[in-house]
Amino acid sequence: MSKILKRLSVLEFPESSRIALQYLTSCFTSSSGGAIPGLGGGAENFAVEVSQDYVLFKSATGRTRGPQKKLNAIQELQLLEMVCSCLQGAPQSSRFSIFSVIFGGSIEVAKTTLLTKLVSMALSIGSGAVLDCAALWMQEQGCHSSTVCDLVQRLVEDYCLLFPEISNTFQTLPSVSPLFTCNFITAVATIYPFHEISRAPPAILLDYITSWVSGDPCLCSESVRLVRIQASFSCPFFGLVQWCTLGQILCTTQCEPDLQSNNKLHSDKTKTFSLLSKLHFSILQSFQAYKSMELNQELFHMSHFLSIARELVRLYQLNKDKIQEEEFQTLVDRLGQIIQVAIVTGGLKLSSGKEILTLCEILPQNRLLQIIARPWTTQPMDTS
Amino acid sequence: MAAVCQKLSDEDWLVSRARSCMKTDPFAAKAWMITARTLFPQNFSIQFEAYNLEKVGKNVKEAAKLLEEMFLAFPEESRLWAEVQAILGVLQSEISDNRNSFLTEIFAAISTHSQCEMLLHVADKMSDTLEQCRLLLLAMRKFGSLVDEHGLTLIDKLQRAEKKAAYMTGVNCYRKLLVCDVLPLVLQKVKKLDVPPARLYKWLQQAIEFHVMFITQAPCQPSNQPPSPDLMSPTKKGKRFVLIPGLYDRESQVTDPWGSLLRLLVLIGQHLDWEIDRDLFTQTRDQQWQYVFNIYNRAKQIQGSPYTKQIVYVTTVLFLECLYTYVSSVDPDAFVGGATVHGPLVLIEGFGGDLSDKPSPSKAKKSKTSGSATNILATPGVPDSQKIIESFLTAFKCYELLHSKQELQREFVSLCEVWRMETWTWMAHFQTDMLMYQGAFQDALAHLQSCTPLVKDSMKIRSSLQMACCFMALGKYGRSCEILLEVISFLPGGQRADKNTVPSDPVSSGRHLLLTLCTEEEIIPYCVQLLLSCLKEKALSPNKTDDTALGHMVVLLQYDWPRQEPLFQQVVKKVRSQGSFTYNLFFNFIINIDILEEFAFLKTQEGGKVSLDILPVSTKAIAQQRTVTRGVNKNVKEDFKHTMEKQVARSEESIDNLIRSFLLEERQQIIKSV
Repeated sequence: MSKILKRLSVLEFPESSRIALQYLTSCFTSSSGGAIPGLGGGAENFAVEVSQDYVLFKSATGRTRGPQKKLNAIQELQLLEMVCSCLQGAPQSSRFSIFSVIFGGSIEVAKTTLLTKLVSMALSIGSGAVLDCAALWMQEQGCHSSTVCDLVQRLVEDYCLLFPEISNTFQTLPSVSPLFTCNFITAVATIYPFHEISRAPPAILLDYITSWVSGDPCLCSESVRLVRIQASFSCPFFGLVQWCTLGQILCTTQCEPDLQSNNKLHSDKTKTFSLLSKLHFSILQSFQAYKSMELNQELFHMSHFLSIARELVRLYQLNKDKIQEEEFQTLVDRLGQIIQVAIVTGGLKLSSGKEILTLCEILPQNRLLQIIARPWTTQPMDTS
Repeated sequence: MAAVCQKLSDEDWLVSRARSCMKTDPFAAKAWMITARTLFPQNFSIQFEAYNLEKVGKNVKEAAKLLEEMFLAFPEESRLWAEVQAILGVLQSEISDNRNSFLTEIFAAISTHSQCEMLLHVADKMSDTLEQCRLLLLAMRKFGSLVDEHGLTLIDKLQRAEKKAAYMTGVNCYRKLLVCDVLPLVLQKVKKLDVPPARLYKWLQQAIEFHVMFITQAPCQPSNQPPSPDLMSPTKKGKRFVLIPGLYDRESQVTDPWGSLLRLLVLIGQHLDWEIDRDLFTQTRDQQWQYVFNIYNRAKQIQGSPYTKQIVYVTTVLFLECLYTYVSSVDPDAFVGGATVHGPLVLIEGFGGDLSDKPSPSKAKKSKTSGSATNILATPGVPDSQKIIESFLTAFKCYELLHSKQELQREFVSLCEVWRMETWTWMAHFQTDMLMYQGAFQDALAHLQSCTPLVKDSMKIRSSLQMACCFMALGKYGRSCEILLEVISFLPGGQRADKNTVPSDPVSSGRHLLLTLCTEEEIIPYCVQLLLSCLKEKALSPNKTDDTALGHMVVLLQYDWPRQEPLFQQVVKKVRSQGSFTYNLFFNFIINIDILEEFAFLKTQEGGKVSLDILPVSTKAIAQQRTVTRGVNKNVKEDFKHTMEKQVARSEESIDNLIRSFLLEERQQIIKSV
């Protein structure tokens, strides 16, 4: 057994955890971690064990010595505080390594529970360091994954549903950790896809997200930025597009505010409409910002839009008595605008004009779509 | 509606969609504009509409960004230029309303490089030279680095434009921009100017001309309408200014014009490698004069001196500045913005401690040749008199210096010709005063007479008093008295606040001049003095008898009693030696108790038994009426005693009113007797 484990085994909480965290920090910060690279038996091996036993307090099978006890609520809070300050105090380059050694690896309930509590705490104290780590973790796990969505769901419950007042923590979130905000939005849009009225986002969340996205046109591209170090990425664009197209038609056709659905949306429809319009405009602005960031990634596939278009038409057919054609055309315009700006800014790459024609076939006749389709349909002049 | 829409081009249709929802849903409108711009990036109308939309939405940053993009992408669009011009117009305008300040903000939000390009580009397109110069000036002010490249070009442009416009006066819009705005900027920013000295002198000459003519503009009071309360208020008085045609109100103003000219002189001097103190013009007159005098002395030692131009220009500016200070005090209403609260001042011949010291023509001539040790004294009523006198003396010294050597005079005269100085009528006062100061009364008189038709009402008294002085000095007492009495008849009656008298400097018994206010209070004592000295000449001459003149003297002596007692004693001596005295106005105008007593005494045995015929009706006349009987004289005696007693009762009367009515009522008599 290593020296450190021996030393820790004789200590009581909280001293044990404090020393454990110190040790973890030293593992990733000092080049002289005690281990000679390539010779095996490096510090990292112990780091995993130390974090398992003295941060996560996981009862390790086969180990009889050392701490086995569960922490009570106060002690857990104390521990979370220590983790927070440990990450905040660590140099930026090693922060995520420390975070990973504790929370990375396989998904375990105890681990994600503790992580959820940590992120919640970081949100309340506005700790950018911890949120940045959590954002990277979300990215690793994938923002549409159930693990991430569960965590985000807990945050939404804590911060938006229990106390739906304006929270300063939430308002200023993009300035604390833009990446976390971006991934948070992606996850929120996964939880609340707004493709049916029961899955509408809580009103307060729509408020927050609209103001975040309109306040910083680069916000939605934060996760795309990481494409340089991480091959896969998720971004909130598609979810938000769905909000301001499908969401809009759902709100329009829904007669009364649905009291059953937890009073999620604003009882005042105009307020929701104006938020969705603002969100739509902000998405276009974000596309423009995305272009200037020169990331050259495809944000969408045409199939995304085709599915939205089909759903739009289906909802329209279903509720023809509740929505006027003009209103519906406005939504088609909205979708058309998104597609057009996405194409121009490189977020959507068309392989052929056929794709856009398919879209036109799904949707009713619309002048904007015709204008958009024209360059793709007009056959190039025969130059031969 | 739909049908109309169908006819629109795609571009116009997109714009119309944006417009249609601008009020109800501004975000949708902006979304339309983004879409339209991506669909037709080369379409100016769409970009411009997007810009207008941001303007309506008061989004400074977005509007500025779009404007800048358009500026780069559509440099030939006239609508864009109209907009840019409007913005630049606002930058120069003086009205700061909401619209203007918003446009200013847009401009401020544009990158510096584009701002600069816009200004130069628009200036280049302007057909109106004045507008163009304004913009270039604005550009150079905002972007100092432009001065090197465009400064001299702009100067040329302004000079050419002024020449082409052929103005009658140096106060015109191009000259104003040149000397007040462009030259200071260029001279300050460009450290090493690559221009021949001749051009620098030309600039300086134009600057002096502009400033002097600007400062000395006569106020143009519209006579048919009463001045607005705004103009009447003393605080506002100083702020009046004359508009220069072609310029905006704000542009027409030159705050501290002398300061600006003097700074420009120093600046140009530095470019000409003159030794000139930055703060020369904040120093005392004496120090300024010393500076000029030092270069003058240094120049004397060098043949074909390089200092000539420097001397001429610095001295001329100093001369003009002193002159302005002096004339604006002497004639406070002469110039626009004159803020002096007192009335006109007059420089007149003073009296020595003793009246016998009055100037004689021969003496005056002597003082003219023997340089000037002549003092100028001011009556206590003259505010800030030291400054005024110093300014006059310094101006005089500068003037003499400029005429002391041929080459200086040549330079100065040629400047005067360029400026057509003969049309600067405000200088007339100085010329008169200078001639009087030199004792050249004949010339002064000629100058005064030639100016008479031009003299303003407010300055008539001044002019008359000086003429009277000259006549007096030339020995023409009659003319002198005539003019003085006329002056008095112009003055409104009034009482002296305190019995101030003409100051006489006990130390300098020599000739001196007196600077005094043209007010009743200050002038009557002076007139009385002057009249007395005229009368004295005749009345006291030992081999002549002129009782009327003597009588008039006695009346006037009361004015400044008892200071005039010594002179009165001379009169008494003369009367006693004559043994008789006839003056029928005696009891009309003599009320001074001391004098009455003295005359009563003269009649007595001890007093010399002088035969006095001073009753209102001559004793001779009575004697002729009555048959010659004994006791006639007794009656007369009784009358005399009685009248004397009655007269004593009048001794409390106002001497001011008495003398005034004497001078007015007996005007003809008095003139006859001198």
